Amino acid sequence: MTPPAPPLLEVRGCSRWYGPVIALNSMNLALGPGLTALVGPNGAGKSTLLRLLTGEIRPSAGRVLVLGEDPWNNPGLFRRVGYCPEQDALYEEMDAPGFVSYMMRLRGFDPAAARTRSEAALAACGLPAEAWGRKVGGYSKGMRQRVRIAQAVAHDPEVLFLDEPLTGLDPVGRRELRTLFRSLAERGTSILLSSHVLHEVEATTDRILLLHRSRLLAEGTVQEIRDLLDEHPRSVEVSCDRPRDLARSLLAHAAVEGVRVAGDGTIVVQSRDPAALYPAIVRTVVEEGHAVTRMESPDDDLEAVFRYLVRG
Amino acid sequence: MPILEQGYEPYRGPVGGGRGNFLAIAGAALRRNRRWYAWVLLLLSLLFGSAKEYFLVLACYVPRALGFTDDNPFFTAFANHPNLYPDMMATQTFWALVMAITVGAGEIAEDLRTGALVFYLGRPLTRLDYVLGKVVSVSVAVLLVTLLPTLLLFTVQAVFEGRWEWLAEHAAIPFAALGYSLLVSLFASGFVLGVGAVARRRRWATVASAAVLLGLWFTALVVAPPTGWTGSGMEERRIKQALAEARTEEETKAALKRLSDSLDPIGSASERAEWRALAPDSTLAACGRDLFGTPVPSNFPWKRHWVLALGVPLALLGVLWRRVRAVEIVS
Repeated sequence: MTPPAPPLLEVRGCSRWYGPVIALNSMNLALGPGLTALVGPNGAGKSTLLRLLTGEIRPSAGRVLVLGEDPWNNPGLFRRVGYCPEQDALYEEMDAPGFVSYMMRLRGFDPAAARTRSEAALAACGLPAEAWGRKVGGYSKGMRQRVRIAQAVAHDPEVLFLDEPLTGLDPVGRRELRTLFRSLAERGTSILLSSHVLHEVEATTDRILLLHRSRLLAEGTVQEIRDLLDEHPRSVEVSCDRPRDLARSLLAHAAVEGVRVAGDGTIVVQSRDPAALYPAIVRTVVEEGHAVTRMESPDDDLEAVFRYLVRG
Repeated sequence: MPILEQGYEPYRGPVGGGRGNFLAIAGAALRRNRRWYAWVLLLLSLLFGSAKEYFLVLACYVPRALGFTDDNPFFTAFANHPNLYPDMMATQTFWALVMAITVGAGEIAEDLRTGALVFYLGRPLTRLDYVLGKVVSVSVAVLLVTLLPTLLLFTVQAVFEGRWEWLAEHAAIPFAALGYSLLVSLFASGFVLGVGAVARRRRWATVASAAVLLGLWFTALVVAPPTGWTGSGMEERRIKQALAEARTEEETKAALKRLSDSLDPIGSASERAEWRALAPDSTLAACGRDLFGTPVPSNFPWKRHWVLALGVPLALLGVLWRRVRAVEIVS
């Protein structure tokens, strides 16, 4: 029998505090390949976790392992790791290929290889070739963001850390980069992406780590996390022509815990048994001939899950 | 199962080496600092730091090359004076420090302010690579002000002399110039990078470094002025008169010695010469005298200048070493 594969990223009982302030509290997690999002509000500990994983800071307690190695004071490991920090810290006087080439030179690539890789990475990140000759200081925020991401991916890392990588990008840019991240993950790169914008994360991946107040609140897919919240009833919104009639009928079902008429033809149905709720709604609608224009569960999005979790 | 057998894309970039990383950092810093005012400063430093010695050497040798038989004793004495090179380099030292402040003071502060340090810390680099890269970038600018014009002057003089014997007699000069230039580079880079690392903006780092340098320089100037400066024009006239009236070789030597003392940039003839150690350029120039082996009396207490010239930059580089790490503000 094959022993279980070691995780690519592992955090064991890790805490980090700055004097009396605790930035990360007894965190345990293990991540394998693919694209994982690190979600939480500002100050949740996302950047601290990334800094621990990138060896910038040392855990006050516990252990961090990246590709099986301790990242602290281990520069050799960073040949296999890419990192896009949150800070917008590009050298304004350089042009984009010059900056990314420089970053590749620092990884040990010779000048020609560094240049080739930097141009390929900039193209992959969607920075228009016409802008390559201009100095980074004259770039828009979105263009600068693409340069930052290009320097993180240009050397084909095995593990990629992205700290708020989609900030400042327009919707088209966000979609392009999400596609890039997904294609990198499919190629075998392990990506940990942090963001405090929940809908953005939701559109990128369904594997999430939820951080709040320095603690890991939950991990898994949105659905898995949502299923853990048994104590919170699931809401389903239904818009139809006779909302009060539908509400009355639904209340007769055992799966329905409550119904609220929200106005403008919409009712909000609450249940702790979503598996039974959806067939019940469909059956009632068909039998009574309601004209339904919309049916969706606002609780299935990450925002709602997060709201429940932090309230809890 | 090993990680790489789990279907991951293996890393195919360079895995070894990395010894030249500091050169890439230095190169990038130098490219970023190729600003117009750095070139202007280089020009000024050559004009005020080396032009006098070039003039003396050319005034001595060009008439000879043009066929004039009577050497001008004044220029001949100066061109062959043992203090020609150390004094030139002492003057260059001030300009080298100014150059270092101009190009290097903001290097660390700017990386700290913008967070660019994170780009370095997330690379296969050590702190030593980073610090060494920045030191080399400042040192190259310093060497342009000190070593380059000195070696060029030596070459010019050697060509005019055209004798292997002369070259053999003065063979130590290029090595002393190299040693002194490296010392000034270490001091200048340690000084500007260390003081500059305390600030978090290029502008403030530059102002802080310049304020410390000028403050020390002016204090030393007031407390222990070089001898000739106290008499200003009067002393100069007296020396010129003594030179003109000198009949014997001893009288000429005495007058030249007086002139040399009056112009001595490190103020070694000052009654309170030990206070001159406050001025970094004087301290370094005193080390230069040792390196060039020039027999000029110095009132500097024993080897204190070496302790200062090596200790101060190393201590400041220690400050820099502490600053080069991730900065996180948590409230």
